[in-house]
Amino acid sequence: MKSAVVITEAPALNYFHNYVQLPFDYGRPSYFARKDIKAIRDTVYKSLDDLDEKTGWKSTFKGRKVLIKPNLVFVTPKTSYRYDYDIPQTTDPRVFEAVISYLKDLTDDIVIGEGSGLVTWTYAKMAGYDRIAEFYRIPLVYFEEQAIDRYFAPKAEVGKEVFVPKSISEVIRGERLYVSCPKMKTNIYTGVTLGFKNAMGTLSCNMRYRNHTWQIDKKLTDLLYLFKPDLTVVDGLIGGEGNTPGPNFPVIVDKIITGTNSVEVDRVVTEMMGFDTTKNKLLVEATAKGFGDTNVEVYGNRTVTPFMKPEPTLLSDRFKNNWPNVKLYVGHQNSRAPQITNLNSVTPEVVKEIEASCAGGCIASIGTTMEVLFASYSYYFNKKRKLSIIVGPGSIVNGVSYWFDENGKAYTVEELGNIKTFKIGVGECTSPAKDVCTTFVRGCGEVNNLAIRLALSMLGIPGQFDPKYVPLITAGLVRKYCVKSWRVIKDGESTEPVFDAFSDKIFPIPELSKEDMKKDWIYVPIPKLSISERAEALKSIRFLANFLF
Amino acid sequence: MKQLFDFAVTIILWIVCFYLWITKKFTYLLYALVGCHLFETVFIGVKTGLKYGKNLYYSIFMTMIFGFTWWLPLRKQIKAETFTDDDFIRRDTDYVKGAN
Repeated sequence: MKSAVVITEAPALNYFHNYVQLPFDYGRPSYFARKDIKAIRDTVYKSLDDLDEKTGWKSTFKGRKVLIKPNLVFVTPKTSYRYDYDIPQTTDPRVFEAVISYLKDLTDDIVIGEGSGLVTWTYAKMAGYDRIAEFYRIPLVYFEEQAIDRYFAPKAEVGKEVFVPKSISEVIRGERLYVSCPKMKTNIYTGVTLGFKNAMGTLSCNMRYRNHTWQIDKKLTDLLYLFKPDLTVVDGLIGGEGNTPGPNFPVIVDKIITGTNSVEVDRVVTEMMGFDTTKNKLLVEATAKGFGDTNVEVYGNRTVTPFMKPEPTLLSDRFKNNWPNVKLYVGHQNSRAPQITNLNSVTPEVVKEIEASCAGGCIASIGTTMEVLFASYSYYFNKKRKLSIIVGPGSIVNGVSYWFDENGKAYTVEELGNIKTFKIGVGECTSPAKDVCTTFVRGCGEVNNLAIRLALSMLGIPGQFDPKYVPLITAGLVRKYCVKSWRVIKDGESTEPVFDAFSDKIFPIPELSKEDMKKDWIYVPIPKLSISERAEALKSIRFLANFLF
Repeated sequence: MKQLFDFAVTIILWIVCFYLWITKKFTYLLYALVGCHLFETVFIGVKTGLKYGKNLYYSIFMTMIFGFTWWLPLRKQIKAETFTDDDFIRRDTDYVKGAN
């Protein structure tokens, strides 16, 4: 199929009503008669029609099976935080509905699939995706509840072994086409999260945390060896800027962007967000691996609407202003960190470089969680809280490990122990400082555990605390745990690989033949679990986090 | 969460009414509760439930048991999500910048 990207402008209306949750009257004539709904549907339809005129994509889709995936993270209406607007993290359900409506004319076999990494069932209900599924009489599957299949990706640089839910196997084998429907938004881990990064939602929880580190860009682009979107529709009506997946801020863009090559769609959209595409690691990696298309044609107005860059750092002025008593002590020995030979030469800029040597990992996760706490109602009570965050194994200078504060002052592990605040050590590599920490978070890039521990350390109530939704979130957690456990017990099928993300190593695969090395993917069957294996597999299912207590 | 709490309070009220009726032969509280809920069902509860999208029997049941604790939140949501064309006109105040 020819590669094209189409940018379609939506009428300049107020789209702020129901851009996060469908209204009560969805599915009724009153909903479809709304001015914004008509405008959104017309824009989506026009964009897809224009794309078809340029590429003929519809002929590929006619009568085929389709999996459509939104970007469902948290669903947080304004009552959940102390902001006075709904948080634009999730694909606008009105846009998503319009895409499904369009696809329904081409095929009846459509499946909505998503795995938010949290409680997808709950968030799908809150957003109204379940009502969309009911209206169109199509299934809505929750990836984290499905049994997993295993693949090797011989050409992958980092993600050589991948576990994906069975619905995605249909896509990998070419039996089902894949439509990615992301939100136009920034991301603290990868800069932006758009068409092909949307695939992160297909990975099981434990799988996500492998290489959820400085290698995250490579890991995500490696997934393209297994499957790529056949169609990408970016919801750019109201974008989201900031430290997503923390609460972000709305940006009016008024665009729907569609395309047949996801990497090129993402390139165009990244540029429209005001970012340098040559500096975005996701795009750089994807292009280097040959997933782009230099022959892509772009149609429409590429107006730039500047988005605020995410800040995967605890050393920015904004962070220090928001959390004046939260201090970072960081030291790394990896090859990307500056080599320190003289303690007196460590300036604040050098400390920032040390911190940035593992972007995409724990620092970004801390940044996200602190953003959640900043937006929470509890911020009024804990904004002056004193907390020391220790990250990394220390930088080695003359055989001694040192961690550096924001000013470049060096601390040995003993000196860290003398700091009279609550101390949280984060990440497996921080083990050398574990004994001086009040609490220690294991794992390499494990987000859930880090978020919970950090929130407890800050004595904060995490955001989304609209009490109205607490029962639904609780029900979702219990349901998820029960469904996953039942699948293991009854069917002997696991929904999670074992959690093993304790370092940033490349997880190896067995040696393959020369012929196999040329393949994009190899299916590796997972045998049914024996009784004893089922008991072990149950441990891999987490109710909340792996190492909570 | 607040609605769950309200439902719980209503259930407790029903229990108190029945208790007083059975043990003390005091029926007035029960009559008052049934009367209020019946009035609400006829004049507002069913109408609100149907408008929201619930079915008739469900609306009758929920209003009779829970009264305004059930239909009032629905009514508020209906009001908040009923729009005219004027609501979709873009105004300068629609532009939102993040909290820094």
